[in-house]
Amino acid sequence: MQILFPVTQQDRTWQELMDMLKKRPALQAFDPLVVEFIHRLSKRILLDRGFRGYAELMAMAHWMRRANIEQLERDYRKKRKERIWQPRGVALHFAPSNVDTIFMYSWFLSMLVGNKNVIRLSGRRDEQVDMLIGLIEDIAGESEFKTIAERTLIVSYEHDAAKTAALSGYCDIRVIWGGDETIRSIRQSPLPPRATELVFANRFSLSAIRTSSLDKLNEEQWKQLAADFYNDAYWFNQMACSSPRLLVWIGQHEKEKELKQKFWEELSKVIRQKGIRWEAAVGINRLVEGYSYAAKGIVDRLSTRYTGHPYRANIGQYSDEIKSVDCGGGFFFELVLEEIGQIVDIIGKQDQTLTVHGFESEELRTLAWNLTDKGIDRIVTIGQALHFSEVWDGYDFFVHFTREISLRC
Amino acid sequence: MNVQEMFEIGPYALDKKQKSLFLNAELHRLTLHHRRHCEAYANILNATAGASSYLDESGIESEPFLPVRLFKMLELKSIGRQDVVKVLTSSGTTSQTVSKIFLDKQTAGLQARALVHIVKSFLGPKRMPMIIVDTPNVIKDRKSYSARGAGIMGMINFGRNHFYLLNDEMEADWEGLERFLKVHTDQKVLLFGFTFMVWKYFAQAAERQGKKVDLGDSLLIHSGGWKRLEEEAVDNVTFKKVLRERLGIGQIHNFYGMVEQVGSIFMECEHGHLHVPTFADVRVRDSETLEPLPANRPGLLQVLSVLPESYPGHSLLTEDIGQIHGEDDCPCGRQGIYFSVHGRLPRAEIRGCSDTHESV
Repeated sequence: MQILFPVTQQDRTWQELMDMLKKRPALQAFDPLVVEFIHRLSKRILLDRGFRGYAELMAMAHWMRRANIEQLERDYRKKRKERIWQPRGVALHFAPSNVDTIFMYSWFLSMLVGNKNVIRLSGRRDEQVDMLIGLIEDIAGESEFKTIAERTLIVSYEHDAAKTAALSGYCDIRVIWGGDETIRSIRQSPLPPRATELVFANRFSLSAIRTSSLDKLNEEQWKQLAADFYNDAYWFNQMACSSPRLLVWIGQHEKEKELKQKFWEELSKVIRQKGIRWEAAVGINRLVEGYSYAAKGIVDRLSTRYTGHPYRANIGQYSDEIKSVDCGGGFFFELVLEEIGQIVDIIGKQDQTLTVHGFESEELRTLAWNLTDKGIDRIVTIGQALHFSEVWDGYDFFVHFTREISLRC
Repeated sequence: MNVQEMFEIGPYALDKKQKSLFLNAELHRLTLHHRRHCEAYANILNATAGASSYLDESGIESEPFLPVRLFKMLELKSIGRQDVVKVLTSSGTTSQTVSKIFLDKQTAGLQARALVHIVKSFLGPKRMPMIIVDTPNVIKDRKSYSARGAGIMGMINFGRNHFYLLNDEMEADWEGLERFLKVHTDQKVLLFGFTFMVWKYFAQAAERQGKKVDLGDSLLIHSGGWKRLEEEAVDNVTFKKVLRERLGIGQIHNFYGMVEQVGSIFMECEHGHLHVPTFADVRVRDSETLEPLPANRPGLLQVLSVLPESYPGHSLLTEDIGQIHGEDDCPCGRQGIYFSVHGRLPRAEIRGCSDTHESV
């Protein structure tokens, strides 16, 4: 097992480090030192030229700024009211290797409510993750942050059920990112009886646009909408759980065809400006997916015989099979529905984020109430698909990362 | 001209002009045939450009193609279940899913005849004593062959007195080989095997075990891709050199083919070029845009064959990178396009949220 952090402790075994970490008392929620640490790290990321190219890391650094963390604390206190929430103890996070920033959110939210944290990173890390670890070492290595260094352990190891089981044996809450297979695999390792678990399974996300709302947009608004949709769909190569893969056009409009075309053209402009380019194999994946859904009769129109993106596959005969599309890289199903309420019919449990444009908040509220146990854990404006929040996949982290002491006397 | 007439002339007898007359018409006929008999194929044509643009005969470049991986995802066939006489599957060593190719009597027959027609032009009419660099067990199940089994079954009739060099543990039977060579002294020997297996279990095993074999007047035909040899930095030139020096094999011909287009294989000539037979053609497309590329530019290989009647596999986009070197002017004298294959298109590296399971 490779100990990535804290580096100063590398003469000790990871078991010794775990024992030490487990014995340390947990912190109070929103300990000023933790807030300062996150803020300091945020500043370093924002100033570091090496991170400039990674839009998702920059977004995370903004989330980490003091002003935002203080807002988070206000939300926390508002939610908590007079209740007594305490940390659970040791939180063990299994991070996904591709969506590099997730482990940071998971760690910080857990640390902010007082938990001690153990984070397992994949061996297949992107270089920016190693750069992040370097920064963390740098800052947490300073003596003023000793408290944090003593309560954090970041490790990496290749598949090893024994190690996963040993780490799990220490924890009070286990957090598994990385999808269905990872969850199945890690769940083979039992948890201590009192420990709880948060799991983040494979998800599908979609977008809904009221077609008529596009008719009212001026050029500036068109650009903004396209840029927002680009961020949602193209960051993480459209492979994040929240990246939209289906665009539902709601309602008919006399200029429907024109408006849709304009939408894809505006998006193409953004793509050209950003100069995004994937390996050729990504294009072949789009082609294979597009042709296979067409062959099955689910898709009745493809935007190209070849590979160009944004690649559109128009759904002629809806089937839940579309939810298993996994090529990413600018592949979009399109579907037309009369009204937003009908979206309930195609929603399943795997659906996570619905990004929207052109709806009244009242109709979205009605939709949310009609979803009951079907699916969709987030409804946000287009442009916010990847904005992480403390309520994710239906879990409120403030609630799940803590225990409540019932005081009734 | 029709396919039957191709068996009456040599497999490399047509020049560019004659060939395009034949192929344009024949491939287009197949597009319409599969469109009528394979619903999935028709669906794809309908979803891409409303199909009408395919209805005019404007040449091979505009003929639709299917990505070859589609045969791993779907059961594509243009015949009824009752007419299926054989199902070919890819070996599936590098991926979990296998291609399934459905053959009726007609297509299976065409494939077998085309293969004979092409290979005979290299071997001559006489059957030679034959060494198969594989285990006999790979062709045990005669109803459903793996690509390896199908490949061997396709080649076996070119030889006689077959000797299987390997056992199930992939160990060479050196003594058996010696006996075989003694019996057939002064006769030209034919060898067949998969490139990687010939390399690892024959050439390298001989080297490792210090065996010096002299196959004398002999001819090796091998196929199956270079992926695993590339990992060991072994190219075609090295491969030939080592086999010549270590095993004494004089004549070595690689061929490029795939389970999705059995029969119309692309044989390597004496000058190291893969040749397109009359039954087939090759195009190279830009790996990103898929637009056709001129000669000498590397890109994705599109392979076309007039043999597939029972499944819509007459025009396929492979995931192999290659390049065309010329047409009708190879120094070996064979007509038609000649080309080379460089390797596989690298797999996409982009991964989803659900990805840690391989390494957790």
